[in-house]
Amino acid sequence: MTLSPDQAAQSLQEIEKTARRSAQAHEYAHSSPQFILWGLIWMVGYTGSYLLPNYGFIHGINWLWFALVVAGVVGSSILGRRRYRDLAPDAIAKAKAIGFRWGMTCLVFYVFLIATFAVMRPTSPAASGAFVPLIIAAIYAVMGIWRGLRFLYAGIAVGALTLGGWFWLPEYFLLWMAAVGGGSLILVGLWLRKV
Amino acid sequence: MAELNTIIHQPVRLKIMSALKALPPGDMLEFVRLKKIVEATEGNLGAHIQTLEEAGYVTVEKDFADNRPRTRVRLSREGRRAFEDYVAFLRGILEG
Repeated sequence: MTLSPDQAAQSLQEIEKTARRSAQAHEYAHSSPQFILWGLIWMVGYTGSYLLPNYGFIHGINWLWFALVVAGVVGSSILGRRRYRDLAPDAIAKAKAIGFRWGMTCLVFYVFLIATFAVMRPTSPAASGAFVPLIIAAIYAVMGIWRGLRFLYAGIAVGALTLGGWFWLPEYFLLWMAAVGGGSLILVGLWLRKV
Repeated sequence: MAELNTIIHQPVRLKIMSALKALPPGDMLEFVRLKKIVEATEGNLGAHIQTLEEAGYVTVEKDFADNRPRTRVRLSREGRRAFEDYVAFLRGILEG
């Protein structure tokens, strides 16, 4: 059996198209539990901040959120490790290196937030509670531009819901973020799992 | 000149191999997810996976997840090599 250059080009295009779809679906499937985990953390954190606004602050640091972020990072790394389970040894080494870079990225992000709060001095817990999701929304949107439109939609949803709560429901903003912000992350996680 | 690999060249099998090759080596794809990516019916996909398995290009693992039966497919080392040879063959045709 022989192939013409046109047929060969067509097959290569098919390979590229299917590989792109597969890689994207794979990325979505592994991101799904991470979205659900962080949605739950947002729910607990924002509900705690609303119900007990002065609880957990020691020397100006909000230990409730600090503990939740640490729990989230540990949970994320456990979920990430599940990703290694079936991989070949060389792919495990590569995945671990990527996981390490993600961990470092989270650390840089956390230090950036603390530094930003130290310089900008948010006027209320709600202001810092709005700033973080807006940054996260921007990160998702940028990821969406490069890695798959569903992340872009997630970024737009989180950003719009944060701004909506901030401007229209200022007195219930923290509760809004617990229910709608955390809830939307969980829904996005479930949506990605369906791909 | 190398010959066309007719096992891989069949359109559905080509999609299966492309989808599996896009994953990190050793990683598996669930049957239901593969069905959506390849856009094939269950019976059709099953038959083509069997052909690829018989050729030694994929391995199939069946287990239970959340109390439900789960079938996962993985590209074998031999399958990865055969697919790379197939792609090189196509590129060779384009480059004349």
